[in-house]
This record gives sequence, structure tokens and C-alpha cells, in this order.
Amino acid sequence: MNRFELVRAQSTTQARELVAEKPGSVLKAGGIDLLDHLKEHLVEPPRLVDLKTIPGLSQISVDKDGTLKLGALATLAQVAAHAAVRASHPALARACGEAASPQIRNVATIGGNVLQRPRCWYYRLESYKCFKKGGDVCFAVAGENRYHVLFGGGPVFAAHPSNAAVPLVAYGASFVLDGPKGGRVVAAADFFQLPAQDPTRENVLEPGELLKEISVPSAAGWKSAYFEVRERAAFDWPLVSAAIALKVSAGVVREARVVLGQVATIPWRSAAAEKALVGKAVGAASAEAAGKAAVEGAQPMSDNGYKVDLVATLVRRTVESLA
Amino acid sequence: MARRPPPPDEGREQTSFSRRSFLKSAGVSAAATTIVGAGERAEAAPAVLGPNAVTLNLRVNGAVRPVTVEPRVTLLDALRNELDLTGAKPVCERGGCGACTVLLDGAPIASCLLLAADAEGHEVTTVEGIGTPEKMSPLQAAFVEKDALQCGFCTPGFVVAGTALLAKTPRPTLDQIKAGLAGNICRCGTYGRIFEAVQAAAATRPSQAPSQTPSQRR
Amino acid sequence: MPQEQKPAEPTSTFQAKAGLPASPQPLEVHPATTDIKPWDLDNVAGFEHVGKPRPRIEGPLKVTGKAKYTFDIKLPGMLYGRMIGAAVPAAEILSIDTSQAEALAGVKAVWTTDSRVVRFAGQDVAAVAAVSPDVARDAARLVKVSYKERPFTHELREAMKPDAPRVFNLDRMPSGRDLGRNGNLAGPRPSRSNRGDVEKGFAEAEVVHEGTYYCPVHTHSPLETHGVVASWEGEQLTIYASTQALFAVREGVSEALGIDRKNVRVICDHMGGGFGSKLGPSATGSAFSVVACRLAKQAGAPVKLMLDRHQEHLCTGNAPSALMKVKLGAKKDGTLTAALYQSWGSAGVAGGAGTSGPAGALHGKNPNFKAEEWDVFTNAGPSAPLRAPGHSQGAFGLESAIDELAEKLGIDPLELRKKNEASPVRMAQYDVGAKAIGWERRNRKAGDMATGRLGAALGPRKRGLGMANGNWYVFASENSNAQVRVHRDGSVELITGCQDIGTGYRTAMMVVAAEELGIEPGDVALRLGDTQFPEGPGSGGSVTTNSMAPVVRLAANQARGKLFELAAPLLGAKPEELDAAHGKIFLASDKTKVVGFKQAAAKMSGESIEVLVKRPKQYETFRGDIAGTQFAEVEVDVETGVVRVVKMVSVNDCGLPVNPLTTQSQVLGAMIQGASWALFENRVLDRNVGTMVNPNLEMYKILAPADMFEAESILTPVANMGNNTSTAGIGEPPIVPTLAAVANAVFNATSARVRELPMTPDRVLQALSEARRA
Repeated sequence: MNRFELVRAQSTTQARELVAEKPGSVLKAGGIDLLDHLKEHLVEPPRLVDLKTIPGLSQISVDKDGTLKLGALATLAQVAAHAAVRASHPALARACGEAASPQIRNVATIGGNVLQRPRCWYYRLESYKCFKKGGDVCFAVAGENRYHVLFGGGPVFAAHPSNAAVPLVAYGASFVLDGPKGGRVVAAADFFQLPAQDPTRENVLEPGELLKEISVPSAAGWKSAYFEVRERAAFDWPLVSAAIALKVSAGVVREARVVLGQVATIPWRSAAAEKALVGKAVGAASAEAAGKAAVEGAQPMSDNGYKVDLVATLVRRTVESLA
Repeated sequence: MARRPPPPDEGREQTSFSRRSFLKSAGVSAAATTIVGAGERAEAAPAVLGPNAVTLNLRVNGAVRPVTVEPRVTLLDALRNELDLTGAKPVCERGGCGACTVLLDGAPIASCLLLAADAEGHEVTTVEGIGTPEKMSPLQAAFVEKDALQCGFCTPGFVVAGTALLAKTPRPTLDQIKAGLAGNICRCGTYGRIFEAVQAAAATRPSQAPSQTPSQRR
Repeated sequence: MPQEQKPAEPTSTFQAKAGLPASPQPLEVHPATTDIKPWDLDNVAGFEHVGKPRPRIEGPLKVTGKAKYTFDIKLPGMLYGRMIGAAVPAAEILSIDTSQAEALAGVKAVWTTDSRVVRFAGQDVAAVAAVSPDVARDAARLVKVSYKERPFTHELREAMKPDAPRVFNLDRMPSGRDLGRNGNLAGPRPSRSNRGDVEKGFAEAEVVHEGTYYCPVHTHSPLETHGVVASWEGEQLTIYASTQALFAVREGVSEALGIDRKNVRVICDHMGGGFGSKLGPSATGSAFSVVACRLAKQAGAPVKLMLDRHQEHLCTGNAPSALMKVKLGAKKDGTLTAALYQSWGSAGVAGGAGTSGPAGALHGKNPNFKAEEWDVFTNAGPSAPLRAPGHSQGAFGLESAIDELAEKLGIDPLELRKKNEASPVRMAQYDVGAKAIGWERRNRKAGDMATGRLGAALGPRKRGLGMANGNWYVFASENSNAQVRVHRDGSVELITGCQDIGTGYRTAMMVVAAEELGIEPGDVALRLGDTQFPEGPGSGGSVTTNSMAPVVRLAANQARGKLFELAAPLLGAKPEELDAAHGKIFLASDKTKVVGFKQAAAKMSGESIEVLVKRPKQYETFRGDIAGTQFAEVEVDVETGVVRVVKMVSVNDCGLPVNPLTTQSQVLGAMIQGASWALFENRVLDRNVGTMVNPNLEMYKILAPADMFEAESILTPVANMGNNTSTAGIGEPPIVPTLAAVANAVFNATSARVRELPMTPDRVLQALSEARRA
């Protein structure tokens, strides 16, 4: 790692100011993704500003109307273990609870998780100067792309890495940002950004902004599930993941949210799969149709065509689990 | 994890950061700062640690262990290179293998991915704090008994993770053991025997609350 | 005066039992007259300590973090070294500028290579030593290297193409001079097992199977990376090394530095794994040991130089990839008539990528066998032997082909193997393993669980059984020495230079010595891992136990003899009438006439009795190889392609297991490592840039606790492995069949044949879709 200053902020305002006053400074939450970046010299900030010392950023609470409020500094372990989260937003609890390892989950924060940079192996190696590092190439295109995207690619093809972001989008969460011009609330669905807009970024967080809280509307009336397909049984990045939330009444799906993970440059909402479910009963037929619809428009790369079948299978199984 | 403000900084290196320059750059946002008289330390102005070495007061295995390191030094390196606690091992340095596992307030973490500075204000427990060759913990003794080790390089990480698992789940099922140890890799291939050791240690535990680890004693 | 074994000793002759205790064969053996009669497997129950499970003596140190590995060593004034490796796979080095690095505060020494040709990324270019690991890393980044990049070839199949960039000029290829050379290929190298006439054999065949199989490059990935601590005191050099071969380090480093071996001391108390990559002075792809010594000399301070994980993946060796073409011919009843085995292997910039061992050794009844191997060079780090080098790849190819032949013949793969089996040991092992796995539950029709008894199919999750054979050899190093010292106070020291790489060697040797001396293993103080102690072998080839056990026993036996001479007058008997057990020495014919071990020792005139012994010659035995067979049960999700190993049974022979607890651990460990190779591991080089894209433990995936399966190890002891303890090694043999056993089980579960590893979902789904089309 480069030599840096460490400053322990005591408020979010102070944190932003501490970053602003020293160009190149970065915020630190759990530090899991940051330390990986530092060790590989992907970033070399002169100063780290610690958010963990700011009181009040790690609470998990439920409002009277059932809105789940997650402090950005709540750890993945805390989110996964929280009784209310497990009861009302099981897809989120599961995504957090299956991420990485117990050691990582005890430190990694939910905010850090949704903001983490891609796990693309070209991105994660200093020697590959790709688009995201100011270069002019995406090495995955003509290279080793078995873990890369089916959707939303171009000019970069790195999968969005966050497991938690997938159910958060499915639940219609919002991200509460703190910024120099005051705060703003951005819907999770609008928070993640396709590389076509700016290949160096994965989300709309502006310089000087920080993620303070994630607000997840009540899931009352919704049935939801989250599943992954992984190579290793645990402690592995998913090959594909899916979070599906269905509002069912009188035996028929009224609203559907189908979100795919690890197959697109952002958490990928599949309108086609949702359309295949709305108005149908949840069962083998609609699940099959949703699975097929979910892969419409997939653009496999040279080595990741296998993910197409995996998406169809996973969507089908996830829908079936909600029957 | 308990979160307390940093302890008083006796002995901490004076920093170059001054309250005046902070206020200047902070513009009108004074919410986080307190205006105090000249010569008094501003409670709300945070100290800048580094980039040169600073003294950190770590609490390791129940004792205060100051270390003087640059902020970029990880907890793993501080434990090993400054405190001669070489039980936690550097293997992948990226949180991918669990060999550096220590407990932070009783929870297993990857010490290679934690700055030593971030351990201030917390209780660190290393494998050395769990038992000694003369007085092993039941889990450590079970590892030896069941031959749950070969080269031994992963063993401290497994012992620490296993200790935390048993503290949380005194009678774990095989699936719970696998889940609790899922973040630890062994290249020699000792998993089956590790599971047996955890089960054996679990069977010897009394049914009341688990005994205090040294770090929890005051 | 220490005794020495002279070469070409006169021998004695005696009749021994050989083979399986259940069906022994007579054998005449000729040990040296100074050797002792081998332990008899028939008498295992009569041993006090040998053959009884015993926790390893260093266990308490390891579980409490007190065991010191090279990575843990800290010496006063020690500096931290760091290697800088080539950033590109093929290039000419135009310049190396270390001026900025040298100018950095805290940097105390710098080294640069004289070589100007780069053939793989990670090749040694420079090194620095500084006051902290962080400063060393800072300094390393300040070293500026300028390269003139050249075309490279990164992968086996690419390198075989006629227009592939050349890794070496033909005259510089590091393969045997007698091999043909063409492009990036050296070969064919014929197998020593070639026999008969394969053309004739294929002509006689009624059924023929041909298949092509592929294994990728695997890295050893020991958890403790390679590294040393080098410390000079005047002209005396002390090296702490994470090594499997202390004496190779001493020899190699002293030669490279041009200093006398006697001025070099190498120490290794505990080491964190090697699996074959730590058998040399440094590593096959880096001379870091020598560099560390040079840095230490330059700086006038000790230097600890450990590689990091990225470097470890690049330059410390790997298992070569293998492309294997197997052609088998058989009669309809399953009798093999011919086997043709061809393999191309890439060991990066090194040679020696042969994999034909299993093909030559297995199915010994087949009269017509031909194998040819080619080395294919690529611009990647050189290989190093990796736990039964070449054999797990070769068994994957051969045993998958045998399985496919069985399918074609409509014969049970176990029956097909029995039909062609020439090893009585393996023949006996088949039924042991088949019973343990429940082979009768196997799907009669691949992919159809209704034809087996593996339970009901759980939707898309299908189960199947498979098996495969392995083979290995009994290697022993006669350069093995041991010293036993009995003190006047009755305490005993066992001193061997040999290292313990984590196999349980320490404990086994204490058991052997204690057994012979008639005392408790805990009463034997073992000192090892230091070149100041009597020389021992490198721990490779599964030689350690069977190299050292007989010499430890012999040394203990001679010390015992001297004690009997002291005890005899106390008991009014002759030394040859005495025996020892439980810390006592007594008249064999009248146990009431007894004196304590310590009592006898107190009678010595000096302070200690010393015996220094060199290992007696390995004597001929009824066979010089190890058998082995393995059975696997897997579950495959046929919709996702995810494979899970459910259970594996490994049946092996290893002579007399001195400590079955640690012996079994070796077998279990090998199964797990093999399963990891089968399912997950793959060293990936980017095809355009040529550098490794997964040089970590996140995307180079090693089997983890959640992947663990039920693993059962069954040992079939075999008598007379050629030494007085009848021991043989076990570290390698159990890994050989694993890849094929899993692949064959996957076939039985799904009727999909995976011919390329690792068996990740993409490859399994591909195989499944091919099976559906067929």
C-alpha cells in the first residue's frame, strides 16, 4: 500500500470535508474492498477518512410502516442475522449471509458491498490498464471472459459484483446519500449505471457524496427469494444470482421484480421475465416461461455462453421456490 | 463490534493537522467542530494519523500492547512483526484463505484486511490467547487428538474460527461447522479431521454459558 | 566412535514374507550383514508403539501458534527482502534502473539479474532489501525495468501450432538432448514400459476406443510461500528455509555463491507445505534463496525474503498441463489387446512434462503397450514436481479411457480392471474399496438412477459411482543418516538433519526409535531440520519415512546393543540374551531378571553413547511399486453443471504404517487435493497479454470446508518394502486416481463424459449437451 494519512471522522459532513480538502482522498468503511485496492495499487490515496468512527451509521431499524432502514456501516453479518430482515426481507438476508466468508461478513459493510468495484480479474490486476483505470481497452472482450456479462456490456464487460444490490433492487430500495449540496435519495434501480455512460464508474455517486443509509420499503404482501449458482459450495463469487419478489393475490402474480446478478454490468432487472409472470399463477409453467424470458437479449461472450442456461435455470428455480 | 471513540492519545505523535486549517477548509459547516480557546485541544477536530508511524494502543489477548507503525500497516503485520505474535499467518493477504484469522471483539476477521489502527478500541484475540502448549483449550487439544493438522500453517486460523464458532453455537451440526469454517482454506487437506475435532470439543463443553476467553476478562 | 556404513557391504540371506499378509509370497532378501532383520507384518499387534495411532508430537505447538516457520523468524537487525519479477512473458531486458529504489530511505541492498532474456512473467529481474516489508514494497515499485517485448505463446495447444512463437531456439531447449525438436516441441520420449506390438494388438482388437483428454496447469499453492531468512556471521551463512530439502538448499546455495558447504547451515523446524515445489535450493522459477544471501551480504544484516502469493503462483513451479490421446483395443470379453498413449505436456519453460507413468504401469496383463510423450514449451513459469508428478494427469487420461472402453464393451468398469490386473495387491484392494463405497449401488445404465441403488434422483441432482486406479513407486534415498545419543542419565536423543514437512515424520521416527530401544516415544528427544545434523533426504517422491525409518531403527538398534553390553553384567547374562521393553532391559527367557534402562545407562563410562548410522542399502523386494485404487460417489446438478463429491474411498498400500493416524491423514489430504484439482483449480493466463489473471486464492480456487465430502482411507499393509522397517511412502499415491475417479463417477451419474478439467459448470454443461445429442 502507499503511505497515507488516516483520519477518523466524527460526522458525515466532516468526513466529506476531510476528503475534499485533500484531493485523491477516499472514504473507508469496513475497508475490505479498499484494502484490496490499496494492496494492488489500484488506488493510491494520500488520505483515508474513516467512517466507522461516526456514530449512528450502523443501525438497523424498522419503521412502523415496515420500512427497513440499514445504516450504510451495518456489516453484512449484522444484516444477515437481523431478525426483522430475515423475517421481512429474506432475499436480502440470504444475499448478505452467503457472501464471501464469515471473516469478511464480520467487517464488510452493506454500504461498502453495494459500492464495491467489480471483481473482474483484469480490473483487479494493476498491470492491466483497462477502461476503468484510464486505459482504452476492455481485456475481457478478446480475452478470458468466462465470468463476464451477458447483458449491459460495452465498452466494459465486468459484472457488477454486489450480491446485496440484487435483492435491494428487487425490493425497490433507495439509497440515502449525503452530499455537499445536501442529501438526496436515489432509487437503487437508478443508482447503478451502465458503462456506456461512463466506463470508469458503476454508479451515480458524485464526488463528495457518501452513502449514509439504505432504505428498503416494507415487503408486506411480497414473497421473495434469492439464490446463487457457485462453483465452490461457499466462499465464492456467484456465476449467476437472482432475486425475485412477487406480489401475489388471488393466486395470480400482480407485480413481479426479477433481478439478476453477476451477468450484467449493473444489477439487471429483467422486464421480460417480469412480464412473463404478471397475470400468471406461480408454478412450473410460469417459472419456465420466466426463465426463458430472462435470457432474451443475452449477448454471450466467447467463453460465457454457459451462463445463459444458468440464468434460465436459476430464474425458473427461484420462481418455483415461491410457489 | 463495539464502537468507542479512540482512546486518549498519550504518546501519540503530534500531527501536522491543525484545527485552524481544518476550519478554513471546512467552510461554513461548523456542525462537527467546536470552537475552543487557544491552547485547548478541539474535541471535535480529528487527529491525522500518519503517514509516518504513530503509536496505537492495541488490546491483544487481554493486555494493552502499544505498537508504533505507519497507518498503512495491517493488524496482521502489526501482530507478527511488532508483537511477535506469529500465530496468525500471511498466506494470500487478500482475505481469501482465513490463515490470518483473529477475533475482534470475539468475531473472526481477516487481520490482513484490517488496518492495525482500526483495531484500536477493540479486543483482539489471537491463537496465542486461546491456549498454550502447556494449557491448550479443549478445541486445541481436540485438534491434536484428531490429527486435524499436517503442516500446521492454516491451523491457527482454523482454531480461531473454530473457537468463535463454538462460542456462538456450542453444539454445531456438520453443516454449521462447514459454514463457520467456510472462510478457511487448508492445502494439506485436513478438513474431515477438523470437523471431528470441532465436534469432539463441542461434546466436551458444559451446557452452561461458554467460559470467558482471556480477552473478555478484565 | 561413531560407526559408518561402508558401501558394498557383505550381505546376508534370509527368507521373508512379501505382499499381502493375507496371501504372502515367499521372497529371499539380501540385506547387508550390518543391517537387521525387517519387521514382520504378521507381528504388528506385538509392537508396543509401531502401528498404533499417535497424535503428532508437534501438535501442541502448531495449534497454539508457537511453532515457528521461516515466515515467522525474526532476527536482530533483520531486513525484509522482496523480489521483482518480469512483468511480461517474453522479452529482452533493455535496462534495469534501481537508482530510485536505492535512494529511498530504508533501502539497504539491491540486486539485479545479469540475464537479459525473459521467457516467462515472474522471472527474476531484481530484488531489494529494506528496513520493513512496506519499504521493501515501496522500493520494489521504484525499480524501473524496460523491456523489448517479443511474441509469446501462453498455452499448450497454442504452442503446438506450427506458427506459434518460439519459446527457445532449438538448441537451447531444456529437454533431453536425444529428443527430437520442432517448434516448441521436444520429443517423442518413449516410455520404459513400452512392450509388445501395438499395431498387432489393435489388429486383434474387437473393440477400440480413442479419446482425447486435457488437464490444465495447477499451481502447488502451499500456504506458506517460498522464502528464506539469510544471515551472515563473517563467512558463516545461516539460512532458515521453508523447504522440503535442507541439504539441497545448502548444496545449491553454496555452489551458487561459490562458498564451501561447511560454511552454510540451513535450518527448517516447521514449514507450511511444499507438495514438491520446495525440493530445490530456491524454486524452479526463481533463485530467491541465493539472492537473499547476496542482499544480506551487501547490507551486512540478515534478510528475510518471502515471496508473496502473486509471485508464488508465477515462479515457484506448477504441474504441467497435459493433452492426452489414448487408444485402447480389447476383445469383447474385456481382455485388453493394445494400449497407445500419447501425451503433450507443458511445463512452461521447463521440460519433463511426461505423464505416461500410469499408462505403463496399470493393466499390466495387456501385452502390447506404447507410450510417447512430448514436452511443449510455453512462456510461463517452469513446472516443479507436484505430488506424484505427471501421474494424476496420466491417470485421468488413461482411466477415463478405460471407463469409456468399459461403456463400449458393456462391461462393469471394475470387472474390466480386474480382468487386466497384474498386481496381486491391487487385485485385493478392488474388493475392499468396492465394498466400502457400495459399488453394487452403481447405476447399471449411466445417467439413469432407476438402474442403480443410489436413492431416488432428487430432481436434477443425480448421483453416480466411479472408480480409477493409481500407481506409484517405492523410492528411497540411501543418503539418509541418523544419530542416536543415549546419555548417562538415561535420556535419549534422536538427531536427524531431515526436515519434517508436515507429514508426521517427527512422530514416526520417535516411535521407531522408542520401539527399538524399548522406551516411550515421549522419552525420545528428537532434533531435526538442521544441516548440522546428519544428512537426510529431500522429502519428495514419498521417500522420507522409508528412507529414514530403517536408519533410525538401525541406529537405535546399535545403541540398544551397547546398552545391553552395559546391562548384561548386571543381570549375569550375555548381551545377546537380553530384550527391552517399557523402559526396562531383561533376560528374554526370564523376565524377572530385569534392570531399568536408566540403571543400565548409568553404567556407561563416558557421558553418552553415540551411534551414527547411514541407511543400509534398499534391498530387492517382490515388486518396486505401489498399487492403489479409488472409488467416488458424486452428485451432479444436471441443470447447472455443478458437481459435488459425496464420498470417496481410497485404498492404498504403504508397507507398514508406523503411525496410522498420520498415515491416514496423508491419504485423506491427497484425496482432497485431487478433488480440488478435478473440480476447481485452473491457472489461467490471458491469451493476449500472457500473464496470469488469477494469481491469488480467490480466483485460483482451492477446495474449501463447504466442499468437503465423506472421505474414507483404507490401508492394505504390504510386507517387505525393501528395508528393515518394511515402510514405504504414502504422500503421493492416493492423489493419482482421484481426477479420473471423480470424472468416471460424473459419467455414471449423468452419461456425460467430461474430458477436460476442471469440472466447472461450463465444462459439465457442455458435456451434458454433447451426451444429449449422442
